[in-house]
Amino acid sequence: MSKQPVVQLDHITKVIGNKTIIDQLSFELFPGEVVGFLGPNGAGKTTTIRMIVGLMAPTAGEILIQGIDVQQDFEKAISHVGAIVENPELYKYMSGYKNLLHYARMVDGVTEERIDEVIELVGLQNRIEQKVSTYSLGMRQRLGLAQALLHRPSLLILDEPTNGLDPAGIREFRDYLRMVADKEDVCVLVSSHLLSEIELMCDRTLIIQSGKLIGEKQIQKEEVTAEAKKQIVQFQVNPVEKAISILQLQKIVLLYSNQTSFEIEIERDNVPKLVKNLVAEDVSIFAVETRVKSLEDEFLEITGGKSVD
Amino acid sequence: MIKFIRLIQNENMKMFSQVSNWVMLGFYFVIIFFNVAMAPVDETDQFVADPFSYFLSSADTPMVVITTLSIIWAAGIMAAEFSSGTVKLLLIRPVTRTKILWAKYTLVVLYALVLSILYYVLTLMFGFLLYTDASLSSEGVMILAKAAGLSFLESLFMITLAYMIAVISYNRSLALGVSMFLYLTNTVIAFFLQTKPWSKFLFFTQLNLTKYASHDGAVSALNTLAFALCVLGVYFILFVVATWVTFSNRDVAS
Ligand SMILES: Nc1ncnc2c1ncn2[C@@H]1O[C@H](COP(=O)(O)OP(=O)(O)OP(=O)(O)O)[C@@H](O)[C@H]1O
Ligand SMILES: [Mg+2]
Repeated sequence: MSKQPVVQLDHITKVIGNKTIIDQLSFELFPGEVVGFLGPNGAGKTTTIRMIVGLMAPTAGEILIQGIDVQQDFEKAISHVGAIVENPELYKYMSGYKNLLHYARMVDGVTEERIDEVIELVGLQNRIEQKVSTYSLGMRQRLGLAQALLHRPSLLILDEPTNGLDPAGIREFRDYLRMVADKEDVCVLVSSHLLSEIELMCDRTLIIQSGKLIGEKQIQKEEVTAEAKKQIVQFQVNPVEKAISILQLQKIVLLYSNQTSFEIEIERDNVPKLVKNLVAEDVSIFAVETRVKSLEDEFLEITGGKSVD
Repeated sequence: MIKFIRLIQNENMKMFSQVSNWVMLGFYFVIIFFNVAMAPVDETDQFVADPFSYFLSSADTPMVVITTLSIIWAAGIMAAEFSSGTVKLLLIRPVTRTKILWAKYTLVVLYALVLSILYYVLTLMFGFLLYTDASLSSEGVMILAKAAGLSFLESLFMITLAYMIAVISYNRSLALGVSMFLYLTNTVIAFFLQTKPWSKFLFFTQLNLTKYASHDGAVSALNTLAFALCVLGVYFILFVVATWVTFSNRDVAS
């Protein structure tokens, strides 16, 4: 990508007490990208986000938003950012509208029309005059998103935004994110530990563990993966031993087997040939299931499935 | 500057959206009316000659209420943002922390000021209704003005103290507890410490300013209103600086 990065983190380190929570973290995000920020509990996702939005100061390193240092010129840098940090905590004793009015007054140039536009965008027009204390969690998430979008930020940071949304809400949210990213050329950083979520809505994923960036992955679109990528395929057959000996002849890597089935890694184009061979050798096939290696597998592979430290 | 005014407007909107604020204001008006209802009909004391002046100079309960309400707000207005987590959305706007800090403070000071003026006006008004022979030139009118003004200064100081404790500790109860304790017991503490010459440099022995309103309340030649204001002024500046320095540099991790 030749575009100017929206955010640059340059060797960010955060030490609290004598614990290094973030360790030399560096990455760049570009316009129009939806980037997943993935990591197990306590990995340092929220801490990183807090530093980007200036709630915490890094111990070392530099954070630039549109080329402006957050620590040096906070007001200018932060005017490009809209964010939800952890839960969208709003003023419960006020109506949704008053909440938005409150944040609108804190920036220049947010008109009443813009407030209405954002309300419509997140679909809250029917409940906006009611107190936030009467809102469901999903509605609060929507209002949280509305406040983050008011001033047309070029960077949208969302910390676990699908927390508490129902499946329909999650899907809608996902579509919505894609729309703002594409239409308004907004860069979106979404943190989550819900791997499947990230996989569905992001172009790229940063994987963080114990404050370190341990992986970065371009998520491929399904049509690409389906053809070129090796897949994991599970066969339910009988007898398994005979089938395995055929596999060995064809030099196919066996991943796993038991009395009724086996799993192999194989390219899509080679599957029909293998099935033909098995049938020719009189092996009964009960089921053939493909499984694209999911981000979850990869995530567990990379992080080693370790527990929170 | 316009931005600062909009911030105060915001704080004001939040304050008046809370039910507790209306309850407290209701309480304030009840106390003022109660004070009027309890007015003596025909009494004087050694300082004032006429009953009207006596009524005005003895109507001091509402002032305690004003300061108490101000302390409650000063303790809560920032601490509440931290305990509810709303501070995270508040501080990620293109507004410096300094502005947010002082906008909240300013609103509480304005609150105390408006309640003090309202108290003065209402009490005077009821005085004229109760005492038909009252005149604006009575000495009570001046005494009441002085008392309301000095009480406002007490409120201002207590607001600053409570706000500092709340901002440094993020703890509303601590700020409220310490400030109310000192406000309610300062005369007792001052009394017990009066033999110690250094005690007059402690802010809580100088907190009672309203005693200077009705007569020369000086404890000694050295302990005058001017001296009290100087001592309080020095502490005031210290509190303001401490509040400001902590708030503008601290990591927000709530
Ligand atoms: N104020 C703090 N003081 C000390 N340690 C902290 C503080 N804030 C966070 N930590 C520690 O930093 C680490 C990272 O925390 P962080 O909240 O950033 O994790 P996270 O990736 O957001 O996790 P989760 O998925 O649970 O939200 C944790 O080990 C946490 O205990
Ligand atoms: Mg988190």
